[in-house]
Order: sequence, then structure tokens, then C-alpha cells
Amino acid sequence: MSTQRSVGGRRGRGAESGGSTEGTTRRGFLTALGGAGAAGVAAGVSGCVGSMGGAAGADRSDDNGSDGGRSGGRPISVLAAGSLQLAFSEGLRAAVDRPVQVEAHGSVTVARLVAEGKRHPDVVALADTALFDRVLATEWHAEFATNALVVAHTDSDAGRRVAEADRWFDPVVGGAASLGRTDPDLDPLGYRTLFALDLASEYYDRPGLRDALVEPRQVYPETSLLSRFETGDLDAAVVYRSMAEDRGYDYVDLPAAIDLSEPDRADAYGAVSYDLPSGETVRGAPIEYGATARRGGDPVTDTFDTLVAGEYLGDHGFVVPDEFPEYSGDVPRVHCP
Amino acid sequence: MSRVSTARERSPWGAIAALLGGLLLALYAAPVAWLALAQPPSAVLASLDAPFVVGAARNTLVSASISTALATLFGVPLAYWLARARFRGRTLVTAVVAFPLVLPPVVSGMILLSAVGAEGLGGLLGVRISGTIAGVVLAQTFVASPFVVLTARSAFESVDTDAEEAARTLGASEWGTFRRVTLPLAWRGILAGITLAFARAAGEFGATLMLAYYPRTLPVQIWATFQGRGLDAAFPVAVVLLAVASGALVLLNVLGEASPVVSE
Repeated sequence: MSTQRSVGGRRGRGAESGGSTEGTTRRGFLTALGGAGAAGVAAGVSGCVGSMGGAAGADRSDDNGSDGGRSGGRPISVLAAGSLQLAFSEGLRAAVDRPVQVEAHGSVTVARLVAEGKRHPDVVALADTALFDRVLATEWHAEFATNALVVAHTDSDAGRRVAEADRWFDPVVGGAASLGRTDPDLDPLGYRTLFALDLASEYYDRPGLRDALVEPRQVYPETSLLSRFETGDLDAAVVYRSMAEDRGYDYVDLPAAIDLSEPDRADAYGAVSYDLPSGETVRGAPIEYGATARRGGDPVTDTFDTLVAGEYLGDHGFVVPDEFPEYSGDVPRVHCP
Repeated sequence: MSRVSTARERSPWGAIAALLGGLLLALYAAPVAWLALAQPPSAVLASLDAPFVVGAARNTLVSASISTALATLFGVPLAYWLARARFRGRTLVTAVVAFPLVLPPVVSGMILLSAVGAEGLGGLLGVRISGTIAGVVLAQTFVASPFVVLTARSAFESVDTDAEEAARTLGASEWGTFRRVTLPLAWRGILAGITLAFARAAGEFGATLMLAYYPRTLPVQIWATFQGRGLDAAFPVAVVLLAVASGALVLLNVLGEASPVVSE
């Protein structure tokens, strides 16, 4: 597995807001303009495109802004997707010289907790950037890493069959190994698994492959899937590569055409979709992790910049493509390249 | 033809009770024994080496002790009142006490978070409860205190009111009667409730997760370790929880048995 690293640091794009970041003045110069500390919550948060209006709304759910900005030794709180937990609590913590508190839940839960004002973290990091618009309604975010789907297998006979087969799915289709997956209605991993299986039908030119692999009784909530897999109740499971790395699973890599790992294949991935019970339709897309900072001030900004630079992510099975971190939206000037 | 059985005759009940009880005991003991045996002592010791596990163990002991104390301080009077007062809404009050037992802990946590969080009481008073040790204590007290109330209520109800009346007739005050007659007679039942509450508080996960992921208690730490590294890494931390909680429970019972309430 090749791990690309961002060499030149930030090359953000601020694309979606329609503003070009070229020609904007550099960061240090503008920190003053953000008035770090002075404006409390909104400190240092102003759009690259110069929209101060956007800045005010950037942290609307934190009314009192009690501890924004002035954080003498206060830990930086990071609310993150479960798959990022170990990378953040080990890698990021080691890379940042101030205390970092990492709290991890499923990405959808994280987004909801923040949107509903139940948590007020300094930084939010999610496994699906669509959630920033769909649930959180943040002004901006930075994409900082990609992940891939892999087929983890146990060390049992059946598990090894999956590893040794020419095509990993043959033992599953033939009933020689059981394949577990997570509930598509509960977490992105669940519907992404279905995307991968749909794409696999196409890729291997085997119409009906997805239906042959999808056994309704082998759908579990994520925690349950991993416990079952680890105790040998399931022979194989579709999981993120980062999970497999962190937990020391053996796994089979999938072709890039189906593993949802490459941002460049976004169009091809987008050919498949899943209808959530809410009536929403999610489309296939590359697995991209995004983060946003909800407060200004140097401690948060520095931590955020280290987080999205992603030097520590390679050890945990993530990939940081050269063009990352990639900023979208009304990006605060302090984060602008 | 009926006859009165004597004490010497062996009734099958003794054997059946032992068998049924033994089966249930095996159900409790087997997974715990497996957990303790399958974990190499070195792995458990290694997990103790991690400062976050020690911190979580300390947080668990401190918060569970405070919540148990609060549950006792407020729960015993409520139990006494429920046992002695005669009023129409009594069943309803008992049902309210049972709410935390019926609600899934995660749901309790969500409700508490809404009630005392930034948009509830905490926001009004300008106090932050979520993410503090107070949040942990609140979650644990909410979930664990019904054990004190319900168990102590049964204990008070089983105290013969004639004994209380006799004490009053002999000139003891209401408080004196409670202190010297009712409480000692009900003490074992109350102690059982306190023990249950402590055990429940130490193992509290769902409500704590919602209300206070930090400061971490052992149950939350086990979850976090599982999420990051899987079952094999989480089990040693679970052994630590078992050891810490069992030790505290034994101590609680020794202290409770030796308390002046009974020895008087």
C-alpha cells in the first residue's frame, strides 16, 4: 500500500464559495484582522473571500462562547468519527504539544451531537464530508485524508479461503465463508459496503453479484460486527482499511474501481446509490475525511493545521493524497494558504 | 393421606434450589472467569501501565463513591417515606422511581443532556455539567439510585411497625425511633441497595457516554479502547474494572456490616 504524503503543505482551494484564494494575503498578516481572542468565539474566523458575515455564523451553536479563544492550557476538544479515534488519540496527540481530548462516535452521531448543541468541540472531524453540509451546516471544511474499503478475514480455514481465492468473493458466493457488513441505515460504512458490492458487480461483470453477497441476516451495528468478526463468528467483513490496520486484521485489498479510495474516480463511484429510510438518497463517492475548526485562537488553529496536515495518518491505514488538505467553503483566513 | 413432614426428612427442594441456583451462578461466573483467565496477567499489568487506565480507574472510584453517597443520602429518606406514608399516588411515585431502570441508559443520558446541558438548566445557570466529573456523577446517580430506593423501601416495609410503636410508647422521639429501631432492623436491606447502587454506578456506561465522555471512567475507556484497538485490547481494561469494582464492593460490605447502625 502506498502512502502518499502532502509535500508542499497547504494548497487549499476555497472552491465552493466561488472565491479564488490566489492573491489573498498571507496568514500571519491576517490573524490580526480576525482579532484573535477579541471576538471570543468568532476570533480568527473570517472567510478567505473576505466575508465577515460568514464569520459570525461559523459557530452559531455555541452561544456563550465561554471558552473560545482564551485557552491557557485548556485541552483542545476534538469530536471525531470512530475510525479516527486511534489516529487522533495517539498520532495527533503526539504531534501537538498541548493536551488534546478526543471523543469518538459514528460520524452521523458526531454531526448530530454538534448540530443539536449537545457538544461544543473545538474541532469536528467526520468520515463523510457530505455531513458537513447535510447535518452540520458549517461554513467550511478541509478534506484531509482518504480511506478504502477492504475485506478483512479471520485466520480460520474459511477466512483463509477468502484470502487465497482468485476472486475474494467466490468462497462467500459458494457458501464456504460468511461475510458480515454493517447496517446501511445506521452508518456510512454500511452503505459504502453496498456501493462497493454494486461496483463489484459491474467491475467483475457479474450481474447479481451484490445480491448473492448480501445476506440480510449478516447485517450488524458496527460494534457488533467487529466483535463477531474478532471472536470468529464471521469469516470475513467489509471494513475500512484504517480499522483493519489499527486492529491488526488480515485483509484483502479491493481494486480501486470498487474500494471508494480515489478522489479521481468520483464520477465512476457516483453511479451507484442507496436510499436511506429517511427518503434521502446517498450516492457513491470517494471516502474522504473532512474536518472543521469551530473556534479561533492560536491553540485551536495550530492543532487544526497539524490535524489536517496528516503526517501521522499513514501509520493508521489512511492515505493523504498530494493535493490534500483541500479546503471548501468560506474558509477562515487563518487557515488560508 | 397426609402427614406432617419433619425436619429430618430430606425434601427435594434443597437439591432443586442448589441446582437452579448453581446454574444461574454458572451463567454469571463463566464469562467472567473466561475474561479473567483468557487475559494474560502481563496484558492486564501492561494496561495498568497506561496512565489513562489508572486515571479512568480513579475517576470511576471517585464518581461511583460520590453517586452512591448521594443515592443513599437522598434515597433512604425517600424509601422510608414510600414505605410509611399512605397516600393515593404511592404507586405512581414508585413508578417514577423506576423510570431510570426502564429507560435504556443511553436514552437516560440523552434526556439528562437535554435537561442539564447548554440548552437546558446548565445554560440557564451558566454552569457546564456535561464533560465534567459532576456530569459523570449525575449520570451514575440517575441510573443507580433507584436501587437504593426500591431495596430500602422493601427493607423498611419488612420492619414490624409494632416495634416502632413500642419505642414511641416508651418515650422515644420519632427521630430516635428511626435511628435506634427502624434503621438497624432495615440496615441489611439498605446495605444491599447501597451495594447494588455502587456496582451499577461503577459499571455505568450509556448515560455517562452521552453526558460525560470526559473525564473518562473505566466503562467509557473500555469502549474507547475497543473502538480503537479491538476486543483483545479492551479485555484487560475490563479486568481492571472488575478488580477495582469487586474490591470496592467487598470493602463497602465489610464497612457496612461493621457499621455502628447494626452493632448498637
